[in-house]
Amino acid sequence: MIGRSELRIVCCADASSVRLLRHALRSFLDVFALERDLLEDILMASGEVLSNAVEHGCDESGRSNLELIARGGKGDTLAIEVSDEGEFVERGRLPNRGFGLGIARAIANNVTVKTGRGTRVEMTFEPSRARQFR
Amino acid sequence: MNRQSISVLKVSGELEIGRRSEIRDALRLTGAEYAVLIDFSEVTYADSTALSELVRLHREAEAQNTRVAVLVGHPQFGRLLQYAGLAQAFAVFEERGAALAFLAEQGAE
Repeated sequence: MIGRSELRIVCCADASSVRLLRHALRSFLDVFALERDLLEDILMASGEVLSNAVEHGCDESGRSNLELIARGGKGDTLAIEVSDEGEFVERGRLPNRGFGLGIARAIANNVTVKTGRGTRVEMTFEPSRARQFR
Repeated sequence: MNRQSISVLKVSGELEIGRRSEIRDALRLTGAEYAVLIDFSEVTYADSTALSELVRLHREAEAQNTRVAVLVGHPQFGRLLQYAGLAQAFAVFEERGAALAFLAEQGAE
């Protein structure tokens, strides 16, 4: 029986961190034995939110931190939070950019963006509830 | 240049924000292409960084009347397109022969 587990990583908000954080999240999620497509989709949504944090979260000096938190248990709701120190930029689809948050919203059961001192994006995923397009 | 040749632009591995410049350089048109096969057959993961560059290339290709097909090897890319609302935006194939036949057929019209 696997109880509730938590992953928490704080690191520099640069582009090279995103892949490392996504792989760390994958290792964390492996223990929950999720369906492969669902696992990949959760990593895809998380990757998009992490990329946004890197793109918009850096301060002018280029030195900024981001935090990834994942909480879950086997068969339970999975919660993933990404926080950065930057100002959230809500934007529509520019000619060839701006797909990231829309992709996350299409995958996660719920996405909440909280702003203030920095930006925090909270996503939840219900492993037991297949989404319509699966 | 042979006007009947098909240009192949290939990238492999994980396409994400850390490789943005490399992806942009790989998916660049010269302006002289007759048809282009985007070979993602060895791509194991792609995110909106790759998608944005693909959209840019597709727009440039349309402007120069160049046909484009995308060859994929992993179902994740198809879902990425679906979630981004771009499922119908590109000619996507899982088999190289079908992609090349599509490009040849389009060119013959």
